[in-house]
Amino acid sequence: VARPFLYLDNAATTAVDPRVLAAMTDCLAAEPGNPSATHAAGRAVRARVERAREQVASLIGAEDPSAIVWTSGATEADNLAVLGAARGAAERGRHVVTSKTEHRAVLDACARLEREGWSVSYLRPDSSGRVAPDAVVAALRPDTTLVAIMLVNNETGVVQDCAAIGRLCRERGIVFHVDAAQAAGRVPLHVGELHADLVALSAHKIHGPAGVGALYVRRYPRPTLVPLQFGGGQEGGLRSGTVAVHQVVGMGEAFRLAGESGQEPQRLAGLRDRLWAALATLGGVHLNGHAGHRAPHVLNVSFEGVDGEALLYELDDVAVASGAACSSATGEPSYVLRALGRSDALAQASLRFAFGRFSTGDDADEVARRVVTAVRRLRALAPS
Amino acid sequence: LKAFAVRDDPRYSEQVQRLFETAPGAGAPGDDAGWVQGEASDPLTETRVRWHLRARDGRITGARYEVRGCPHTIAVAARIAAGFVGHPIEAPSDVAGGPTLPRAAGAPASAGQGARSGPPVAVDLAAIAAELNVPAEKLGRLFVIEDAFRRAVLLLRGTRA
Repeated sequence: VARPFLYLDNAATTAVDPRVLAAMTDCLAAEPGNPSATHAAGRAVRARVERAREQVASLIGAEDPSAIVWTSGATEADNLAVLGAARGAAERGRHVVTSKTEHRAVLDACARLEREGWSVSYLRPDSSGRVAPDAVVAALRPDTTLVAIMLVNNETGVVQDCAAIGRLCRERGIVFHVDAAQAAGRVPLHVGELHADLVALSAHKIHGPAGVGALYVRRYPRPTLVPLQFGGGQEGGLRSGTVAVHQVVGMGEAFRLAGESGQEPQRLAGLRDRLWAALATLGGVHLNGHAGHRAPHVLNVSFEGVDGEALLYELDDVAVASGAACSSATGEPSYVLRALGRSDALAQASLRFAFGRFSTGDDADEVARRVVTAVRRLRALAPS
Repeated sequence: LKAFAVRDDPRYSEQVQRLFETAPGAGAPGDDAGWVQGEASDPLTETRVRWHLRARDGRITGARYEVRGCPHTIAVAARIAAGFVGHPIEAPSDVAGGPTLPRAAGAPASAGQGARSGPPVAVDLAAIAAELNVPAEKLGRLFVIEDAFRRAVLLLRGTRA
């Protein structure tokens, strides 16, 4: 099938895997039933929900499927984790530690806490995008109740040392939240090894449907979370509202498939490195993020001597993300790249390429060819 | 799917698309006989513009440009380059102090046109921006084009004197 776009924006969203689609379609076509109902129809549907819960729990090594709380996506999961855990521990302290390069779902939740009287320490990563565990410790205060650090950065793919940070938090009795929306299926993700109390997950980042996610909430001991949503007391009272059964079934299937992906991370890393090798021939290109500690599917590159918007224009039929202000909701160049010390010019002239299950070597080669052509044209137009 | 192509992006008018994609008159001149250069930049947007102008008998005979900038900036530079060749470098005009790029048919006049005064103004940015449908947030970048152009024109006048 001919594809109209070269799609390398799999960190934004991914194509739904046909097997996920089949599972969801089967679910939608099935007899109705509310999973909270006690009659047979309800129990039948609930079985699907619980099967999906097991599938998600299995991929992340959760001690019990009941540790999985369905949400509408990773954003809601991050919101519930940050706001819920901070408010739940308000009597013990009102200080939160996070990093400047977290997803907006965490940063904006932290900003909300600040407006409510909390203080938040925003750690600046080093130029490779990594947050040193020692820096986290240095930021802790007697009233710190929550640390939130993402496992894989959504812009650069940088992988944080969450296992070390989590261990340090666990030793001090501080709740540790990990945004793992970009991590599942790409890097090792075991909640026990991360010493995580809360983990945000997304379905549509790994070939599941958009509109569904989950929050892992450690069972023993269970951090106190104040819910954000009220109504029916579903999901242990943490997330009221009828569960979208076909959505969670899709997420479960996506996580099952990710668990069976075998060498997929290595294949993705091969595509990423192939593209980087081709782009590096241009000269004047900068890899954004740590060269070693990064997820296999993401490549973020800044190009000297070109304007980011013009570069995006030239690549119109190539679906990639940009650090340019024109592509940002805030009208500012990427805050993540600027936190890494990149100049506004390089942050503007950056592209994020993200591979997925359906990406091929031909995709990498063709995107490289298009980018090289575009950069050369724009550099030729620019003053030397 | 065509609806999602850049050609249907409301930020880029047809003229901007054509001028950016073809960039007529772009690049440094192949020879350096009689050319003067004017350059300006904006550190905020990292826009850089360098004009190369040449004149004979008081008229501009060559206008080329180099631009590191967004599609609108490149398109506007291309529009100016095409519009100024053949113009006298000190012709009287409806903008006090210097020649004005003639408006395309149907393009609206700029605000205050005919009433401005001060240093030589070589480019009527407002008229060109309106003609090319440049978004308001991009107008600041166009001053870089004007600054560079003005410097080149002043050099031309100095050379002539």
